[in-house]
Parts: sequence; structure tokens; C-alpha cells
Amino acid sequence: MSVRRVLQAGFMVGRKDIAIFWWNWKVWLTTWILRIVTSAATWILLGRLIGSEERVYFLLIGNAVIVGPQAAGWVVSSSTWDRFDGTYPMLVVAPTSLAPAMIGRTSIWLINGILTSLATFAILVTLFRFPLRMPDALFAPLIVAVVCASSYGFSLFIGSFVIRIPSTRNIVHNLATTMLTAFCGVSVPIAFWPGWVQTVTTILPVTHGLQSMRLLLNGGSPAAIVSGVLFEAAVGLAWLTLGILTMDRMADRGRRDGSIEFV
Amino acid sequence: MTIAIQTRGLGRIYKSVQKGAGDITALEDVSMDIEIGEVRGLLGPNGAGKTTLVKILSTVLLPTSGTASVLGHDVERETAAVRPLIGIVFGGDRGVYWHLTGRQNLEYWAALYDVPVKEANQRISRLLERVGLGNRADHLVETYSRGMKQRLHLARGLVGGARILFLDEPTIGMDPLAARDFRNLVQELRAEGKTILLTTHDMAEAESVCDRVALIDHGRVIAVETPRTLSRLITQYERIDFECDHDEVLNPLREIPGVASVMPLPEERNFRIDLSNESAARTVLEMLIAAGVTSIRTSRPSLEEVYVHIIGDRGLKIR
Repeated sequence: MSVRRVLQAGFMVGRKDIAIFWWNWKVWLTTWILRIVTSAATWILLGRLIGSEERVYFLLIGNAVIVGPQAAGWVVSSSTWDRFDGTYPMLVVAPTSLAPAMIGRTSIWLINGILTSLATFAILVTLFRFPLRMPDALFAPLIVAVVCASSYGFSLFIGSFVIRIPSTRNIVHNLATTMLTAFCGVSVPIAFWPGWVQTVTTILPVTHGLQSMRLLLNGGSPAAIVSGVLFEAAVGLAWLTLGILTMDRMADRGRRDGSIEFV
Repeated sequence: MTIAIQTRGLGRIYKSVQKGAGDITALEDVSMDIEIGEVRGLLGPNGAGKTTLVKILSTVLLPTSGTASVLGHDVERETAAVRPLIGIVFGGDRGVYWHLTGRQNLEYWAALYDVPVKEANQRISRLLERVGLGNRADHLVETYSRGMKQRLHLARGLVGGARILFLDEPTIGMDPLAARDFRNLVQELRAEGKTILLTTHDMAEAESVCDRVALIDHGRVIAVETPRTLSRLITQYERIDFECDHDEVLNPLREIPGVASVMPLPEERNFRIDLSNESAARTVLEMLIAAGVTSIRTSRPSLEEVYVHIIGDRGLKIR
């Protein structure tokens, strides 16, 4: 079984999914990105209102990064779309495992997340005249990609549960992105939260990658930056692995309890 | 091996999600053999267990008792061996990706069934032509009519090279012409040796395409026969329908030994004679001709009548 071919075939479906929302890149830029940038800029302006440039940059980096995981978080909802299309039972009984088909279809949201974050970064840096350290800043897209990939793995894990109760998809999606935004050091430093919350954030995506991004753009040590990125990647890989295992497990549970409907 | 599908004591009980409500028996002690190349109809009212049986055989659902095998592979323990052999087609608009073209839909499923790319491309073009979608292959499915979506569904069920097809009410909602074309396709597939399990409410459909029909109710199989044999469950002998505009011939007909009844039909001036003795047919026909009746036909009960006779007319009630 060619996993690559199934991933490609799934990606074809995903590309059509996203085209339902934004017909082309111009529509994407003038609607989606405009909305995201407006929202992020509001937070940053709040920082300016408080009067600290340091806080402005803290909010800028945090908000420019988090929009990627927020966009990639659509995986939670899109995981359920095969239930609505009526194709889920056929995916379950296809000779291939569920995971490659689902990852293929939903990976478009990972790409959307990366591009959203990069576009937002570019616009906010220009708008707020953020001083970029060169050539260090050239590694920023790599960190964005790792953070988004890690969040994608996390969202896929959550999505693998939501497949069983599709009606909860938007609630769960919103709760998950709110949790990442609130606790992983986006607008509020992680140190603000109680110890147990800080402990939990170490196994969540965004936390380590965002710290690395802050270090990169503030001239931190390369070793600390790389270690944070590797942590972020490891966290994402762990969630992705759990997501793949859970996806097939949930299909098996559906076969046992009869919750997989034909139409 | 001549058996495509075999079930023994197959059952499925659903645990109730409501407190205090009892478990639901969807399927009970179903044992049947379906031969390779056979088109088997599954007839029964809503909630009878037809779809549950198809779900188990297609590995979508696990049974709670008994066994089932497809081409010798147990559906519960050998799912990996069963899945490449089967295709599922169900009725309605869903089950295909509306925002892909017909061809892209088939390419997607060909990838999931690991059909080599070159072979897949040839097979997809052939299938699209065959189901009459050749000239719409590169149009988005959302622009298709319901009948076209159904035909694409059938092509999707075949693109993986399935030897056994499960058709779950495939013509539901189709217009009569589209349904007729669909049945013709099913008959072509039978001619190619595909084994087909068809669930339907449409008696004409079952009669026209099925080699044998299983009547299923309350999760149990009540009878498995050819449509013709099933009709004998109501009356063993032929019956005669005729059109006549003078009633005086009716009473003499009732006097003929072997005539069980002479009843008016819903259509004006149409009557039906049920025979209880085959030898009476000749005498009846001679009398009708002598009386100047020219519109005469002999028939057996339709499957619909058999269905109502055996299952009972429940109106809108379900179990």
C-alpha cells in the first residue's frame, strides 16, 4: 500500500475543502489574513497603550505565532467532514488505514497555518517597525513551521475523538485553541500561571517553539533555541502518533458500538 | 469454492443508550449462503435488520453473536482480507465528494484500494463510460443529478476491483428511468460474475434483478426463495385477470369447479379469478372467450403482494 499516494489523494480532497472557504490567494489575503492581522494588531495596540515597547514586541511575536496553530486547529473540525460527506464508513472499510487518508485531507490546514503565521508576521513587523535581527530572523519561518506542525499533531489527536461526536467539533476546536492561546505564553507569560498549569504547558504545542522564537528574535543562545525547537517537534510528534493510534481505535469502537452510520 | 457469503447464527444486539430501556436486537440467528455470481435481494420493512446485516458483512459493524464470512474470510477476524474484495454502494446523495469531479472521486478511491496508477486510469475511464458519465467525468459532482451521483457511487464501489458488491437501497429517490438504467447495470455486473447483495424496498427492483430474495423482519430471515417461488407462498396456481363490460359472465365463472374466487380489481371493469385447481384454467378461458372477453392475462402474485402477505401491512409503523 503506497502511503504517499493515499496522502496525495487525500491532499487533493483537502485542497478542494479550502477552496470552499477561499477561492484563491487574493480572497484568502483580503478576507482571512486581514481579519487575523486586525485581531492580532488589536492586542499589540493594547500593549502600546500600556506604554511599553517590550510588551508590544512580546505581544507581536506571540500573536503572530499563535495564528498559525489557530489556523492549523481547523483540523479538529475537518476531521469530522467525512462523517458529513457520508464517506467515513467507506474510509473505515477501505483496505488502507484511516490515518493516511485523514492526514492527507487535513494537512491543507497545516499549510494554511504556516502561511497564515508567516503572512501575519510579515505584515505586523512592517506595521509596528519591529527590528529584525539578520540573519537570525531567516530561521523564523522554520520555527513557525515546527510550531504549526506540532499544533497540527495535537489537533489531529483531538480530532480523532471528535470524529465520534461530530456535533462537538466547533466547541472542542474553540476550547483547544483558547487553551493554547491562554496558557502557552502568547499574550501572558507562562510564569503568570500556577505551577501545575505551567507543568501542563510543557506537554502542549506552542510553548517550547514560541520560547525559541522569542529567543531567536531577541538574540538568545543558539543552543537554547535549537533545544526549544527540538522539544516542540518532539511534543508534536508524540501528539501525532497518539492521534494516528486513536483514529484507528475510534473506528474500531465505532464498529463495536454501531455508531458508524451509512448515511 | 462456490459460496461467496456465508452466515451462521449471526446476531447483533445494540446496547441501549437510554437508562432503563432494554437492549435492541437488530439481527437474530441469521444463517444464509449466497453463491458466487448470485444477486440476492434483502427485503423487509424499516428497522427489519437489512442494513445491519450489510454493515456486518462489509466490516463496518461487528456482530455480537454468530459468524460471517466473505469468500472464506471471517469478517471479524480477517477484515484485512475481506476489505479488498468488497464494495459498498448506498442510496442518497452522500458518499461521494461533491467538490471533486467524478474522475477525481474515483482516483481518490483507487488510491485507497491500491490500484496501480496506470491500471486505475484505464479502469476509471472505462467505469465512467460504462455508467454513462464519460462526458461529465471532469465536472464537479455538485453539478450532477441524483441519478448521476448514484451511478458514480456504483463506479466508486467497483473501482477497487470488488468481487462482492453491497448495494444498500441504491435506487432510493431515483426517477424511474434512472432506476431502470441502474438495474440494467446490476444485471450486467451479474453477467460478469459479481456477487451482489441488494437491500431494497422496491419490489419491482427485487423481482427484476434478484436470483433469490430473503425476506427479513424483526432481525430474522423469514424466507429465502426465488421471487417466483415466493409468489407461490400466496397461491399455488395461476390466476386470471380480465376486462369485461358485462357482469352476467361472473356468476357462471364462480360455478366452475376449481375457481376459488372472482373479485373486482381497482381498475374499472377489471376482474381477477383465483384458481384452486390448475385444470380449471382451461374451462375458465374457454368461457371467457365464448363470452366475448378479449382482454385476458394470466399472472402470479407480485413480490409486493407476497411481501404484504408475509410481513403484513403496517402502514407507517416501524418495529
